Amino acid sequence: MATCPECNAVIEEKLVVRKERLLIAEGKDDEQFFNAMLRQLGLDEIQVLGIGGKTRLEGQLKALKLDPAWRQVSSIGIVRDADDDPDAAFRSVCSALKGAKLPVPSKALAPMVGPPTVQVMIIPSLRKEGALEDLCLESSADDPAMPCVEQYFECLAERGAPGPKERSLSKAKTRVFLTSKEDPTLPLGIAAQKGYWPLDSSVFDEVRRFIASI
Amino acid sequence: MARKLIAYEKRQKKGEAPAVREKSASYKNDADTVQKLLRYKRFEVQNFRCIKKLAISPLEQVNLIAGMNNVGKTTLLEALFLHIGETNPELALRVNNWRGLGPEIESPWRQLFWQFNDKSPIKLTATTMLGKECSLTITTKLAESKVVEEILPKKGTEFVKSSGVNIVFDYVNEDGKSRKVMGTPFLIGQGNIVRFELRMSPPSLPTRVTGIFLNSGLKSVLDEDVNRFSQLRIKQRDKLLLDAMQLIEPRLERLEILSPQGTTLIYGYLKDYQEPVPMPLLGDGARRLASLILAICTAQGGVVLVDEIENGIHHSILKGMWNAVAESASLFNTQIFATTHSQECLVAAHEAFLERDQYRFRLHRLDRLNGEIAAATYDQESLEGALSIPLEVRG
Repeated sequence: MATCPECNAVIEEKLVVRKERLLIAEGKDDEQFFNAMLRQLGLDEIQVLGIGGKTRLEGQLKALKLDPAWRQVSSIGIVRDADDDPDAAFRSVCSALKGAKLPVPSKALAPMVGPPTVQVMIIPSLRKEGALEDLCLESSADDPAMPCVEQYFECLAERGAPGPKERSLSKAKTRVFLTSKEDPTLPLGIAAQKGYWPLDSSVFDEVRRFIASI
Repeated sequence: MARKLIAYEKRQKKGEAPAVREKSASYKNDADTVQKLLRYKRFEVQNFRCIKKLAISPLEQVNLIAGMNNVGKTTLLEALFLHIGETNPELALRVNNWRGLGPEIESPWRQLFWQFNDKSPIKLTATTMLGKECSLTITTKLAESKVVEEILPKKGTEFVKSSGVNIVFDYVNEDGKSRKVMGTPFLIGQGNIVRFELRMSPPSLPTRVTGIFLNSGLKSVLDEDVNRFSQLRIKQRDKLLLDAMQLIEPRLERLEILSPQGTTLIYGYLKDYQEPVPMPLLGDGARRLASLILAICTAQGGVVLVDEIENGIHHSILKGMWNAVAESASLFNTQIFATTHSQECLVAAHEAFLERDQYRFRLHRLDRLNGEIAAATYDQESLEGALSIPLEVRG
């Protein structure tokens, strides 16, 4: 978001589709993360669009198809958090693709030839509940701060503090973990750009393969 | 209602039903009926001004057209206007006049044709909500003689000259019946005054539906507004206009037609004012909005075309304006085509229609792609998607 220099009002910056290969992620934070991953892989021919909200994906895909730049798009990858049901997450993405009259893959990580070619990745995987935060925490399991993070939540439980709900635990742990870094204020995506997550970890192997195949 | 509609169509075929359904259309219409009564479901333009070929569909009750400069937004409105007129070549002069193009006696029609090539006919084809096609083909034809030897009975007439190029409007209606009208332009000299005149053969028939074009200028024709307000008063629907005007002028309590000094105008009674205030003094925005609402109510069962609809309207009023447009269009079965360059205007339209029972709104963006103009049409879901990303939808 930019601000007007005269009135300080927020100016909404419009997204411009510039590349043939698109990676559609869930929100701006994920967009920053995947941009860091692309830099790490040395891939600059893929554009990350941090747009894919869970409920609006179909409308957003329809809108993208109406954009004049859409005709240059040859391949898209969609990354979606598994949350508490990886199968439901995959089905939800497929339903949005079908509604937008785009090719629908039969399974995750399997490309459906287009144009555009479409593939879907569920994070952390189609066999596991969770989200991008779970992968990041797993990649940093050996970080010296991680035991302190675990202890913090154990301490909360021992003292009867309400603490985060189970479904938000990895998001909470991510925030706490990132406060251990030099700049303690960064969200997950910018933290990736700062090198706070080890993007070369084998935990991200599947993500790297997916991105490279778009 | 469907049975009534069929009966009406049969009567219309026999020439018994009125062209504009002033009496037969009830004010309260169910959504299905409104869909059937609306004029256009699809519209295609060929070889007209900057448009070689363009199809736009599906059309809704209210259609907002966005796009870059010189991509054909106003041209599309002009094409619709000519099509509504069916066999009225005079409208071709009128749309040129609105563009500031005076009649050129040697080639008065070239400016209508794509790349000024009047050898390729203009074809405007509509598909109605009932799925029937009606098309207008516009061609030029060399006159039999360029200089007309004519002795005129008019006093003082010195010469009459034809341009040598006539224009032919060939309209094929929903039932496949064709009617042709040829317009022959003449220059008539009277003393120092040279007058341009278009003579029709056979004479144009009155149009079956009303079409009103509001161009982008802020100045409306006050006489027309007075006439339209009178009609609205007769129908006892003038509160619609008052409600709309109160968006801009909350102190407004009542509207009346008065002629205190010979000139008849709409006057507004403002709270705490000793005297009523003539419409022109209520501001450009109020005048523009009044003209818009009056046009929609007057064109019952027809079409209103509005160039740069947001002109003169403050951004905070836009959603209210769209509410008023939606309400009056729905009540009077009027179909609206408007152009805009404004993000605030299109977002306000989207938000206003989201709050209604039915989302009778489409945004059509015109783009120039590989030298040709194409339309992208956003429905509720795709427009919401585009605004949430946010993607540029104005072109």
